[in-house]
Amino acid sequence: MIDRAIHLQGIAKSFGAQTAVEDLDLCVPSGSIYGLLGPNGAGKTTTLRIILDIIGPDRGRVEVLGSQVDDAVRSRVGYLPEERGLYPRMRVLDHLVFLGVLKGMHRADARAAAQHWLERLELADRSRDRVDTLSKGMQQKVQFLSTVLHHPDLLILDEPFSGLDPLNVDLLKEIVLERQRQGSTVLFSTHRIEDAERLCDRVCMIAGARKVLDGPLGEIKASAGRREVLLGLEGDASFLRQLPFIRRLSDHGNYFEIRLEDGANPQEILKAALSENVRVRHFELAEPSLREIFLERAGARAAESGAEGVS
Amino acid sequence: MSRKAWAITKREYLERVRARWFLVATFGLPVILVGLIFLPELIASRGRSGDGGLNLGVLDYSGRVAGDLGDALGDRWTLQPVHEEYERSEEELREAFLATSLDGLLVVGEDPDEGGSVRLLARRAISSRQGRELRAGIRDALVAARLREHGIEEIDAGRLFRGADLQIIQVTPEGERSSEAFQIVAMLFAVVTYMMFLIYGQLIVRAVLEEKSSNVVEVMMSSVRPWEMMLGKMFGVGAVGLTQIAIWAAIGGLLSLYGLPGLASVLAAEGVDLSHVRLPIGLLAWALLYFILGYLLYAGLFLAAGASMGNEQDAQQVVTPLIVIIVVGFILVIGVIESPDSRWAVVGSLVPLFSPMIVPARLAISHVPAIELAGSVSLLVLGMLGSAWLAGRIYRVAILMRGKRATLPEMVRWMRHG
Repeated sequence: MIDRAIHLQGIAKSFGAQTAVEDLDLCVPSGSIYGLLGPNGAGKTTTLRIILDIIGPDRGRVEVLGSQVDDAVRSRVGYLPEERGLYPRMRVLDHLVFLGVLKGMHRADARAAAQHWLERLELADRSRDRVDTLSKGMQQKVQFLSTVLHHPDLLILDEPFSGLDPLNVDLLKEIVLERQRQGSTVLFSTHRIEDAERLCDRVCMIAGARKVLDGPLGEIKASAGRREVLLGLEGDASFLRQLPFIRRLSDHGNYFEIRLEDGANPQEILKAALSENVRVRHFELAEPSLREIFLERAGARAAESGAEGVS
Repeated sequence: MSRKAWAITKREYLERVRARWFLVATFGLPVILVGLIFLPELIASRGRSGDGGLNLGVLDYSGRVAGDLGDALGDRWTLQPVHEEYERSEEELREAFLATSLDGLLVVGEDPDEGGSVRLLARRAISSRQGRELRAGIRDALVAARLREHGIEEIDAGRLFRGADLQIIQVTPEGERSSEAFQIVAMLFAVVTYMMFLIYGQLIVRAVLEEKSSNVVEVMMSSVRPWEMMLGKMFGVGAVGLTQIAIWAAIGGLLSLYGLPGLASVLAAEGVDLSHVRLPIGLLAWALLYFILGYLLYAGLFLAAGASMGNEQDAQQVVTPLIVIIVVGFILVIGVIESPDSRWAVVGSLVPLFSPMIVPARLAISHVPAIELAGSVSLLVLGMLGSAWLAGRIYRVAILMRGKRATLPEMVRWMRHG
């Protein structure tokens, strides 16, 4: 087995005057679940399309599963685009078989695999129905299943969980993890950092067409240090804003994520709270969440331009 | 062709052939066409009195027509001579006529030879056939009268004027054939080609737009290369067209085997006898070759047009010039059928956009020299390859664009850089 499923070197792509990706290096180790994070419009989808050779980069080298993208490589990759799309008038089973054949499967194998997966996703009774008679969520599941039909070595999922109910999100996550246990590499993009935090071994963050963070999740968190205070309060919390040793404050109403200045003593917060006469329900020194790290590293620019995307 | 392109071709084909509109179009179109040709004749011949003659009163002031008219018109007509001592006024005639049970009253004026008129007062409209018969009958009666005045008796005027049946037979190295029948064949080729290019060109545009708007494109692009998608679409849609033509040919073959009541008589009325026409296989093969090459040429152009546009309205703007070109081609063919060896016909045969319509028509009517044919086919093949190349360049880039339409400079850039 090769040790790098995806290797990008110095990738750049712009559309007219707009730079979508600038000088991106990316190395996705085989067998990992890799999260590509970033706010909307950061260049995630463009990066994925470059990896799949759907569009060519202006500059840089792309290597997927140990070689340049050709027919053999395409057949070993499963891709779920962000903009889902199936032929609306085809029958579900026929459509899956068709997509399987395009991945180099034999018709009979594709049919058997499709029936197996439809069974598992509780869609077996709809297999003879036309795609456009299915609900949006069902169509998404059908599309997801078309990406795993051919046992791909590399699974590339663009915002796989958006628009699904929690039950189906869990089902899809289960399948993703199962694929990983069977040796596949998974690269998925999301603007929902919580998803990535729970699922990924490694993450890469892009903001404003540039990479701001890349590495194993543990290392990223460790390097950020335990300078995060999680605080639950009842009462008027406005005093927090006056404290000089707080670098960054995320206000969730009654719950706060606080990043301290280097060298500051977390006890000072407790002291201030007591003197302000508010009730402390929760006080915890924690690793910073990925979200906090991202907001910090992406800097003011990303926070401004993409704040609505980072929820 | 790769396995994947083949799979796409098959999908495009099956999806369309299974669709309801395919049945409707395949069987509806010939029915409408046949209907348009035969309906008037059918109505005329099924009319209550349209087939037979009329019961006429004949008031002959000249005295030169009534005598021979009965013989000239034949048994189906009943004539009753009406005698009047003096010339009645128009008013009186009408009243008298309406009081009878006659179908009509034929009034022959003083002397038809001196510019006198012949009028028919008719109770109802008479069929065009009855009008023709009556006119011919009057002419024959007059001819007989004039001949008698010159001392020639006992002559069948109808026979006097009968011409010989002129058959135009073209003798070529491959054999002989009747020109007029093959003009119909040439027209048939031209109409079918013209219709198919128009219909299937726009079908391709719609297919590409649908693929774009339903976002299937991106999934496809992660599995196959753009040219495989493109070829699959062109071949799949084209195969649907060939299927349709094959079905029509089969229907036509059956009809000509078992005969369609009325068909032969309608054509005979136009002076065409199709009963001995046998289409040479060679001619059909050439027509098929030109159809396929021409289809691929136009399919590429329509495909590029569809791919570069975001929605149907925009697409219509790019498609319109293509439609105009096809229509111009059809108009040229009509001229070519009139004079198949004119300079225009020869030049048109070399232009790839027009040759698929012109050359089969020329081949049906006339003899096209081998050197011209070779030049025409090679230019068409070149044109087809050029169109495919161009379409591939534009399709590859444009297919991923959504919502916005490509500008001309953009399209030129894609063609140059891919």
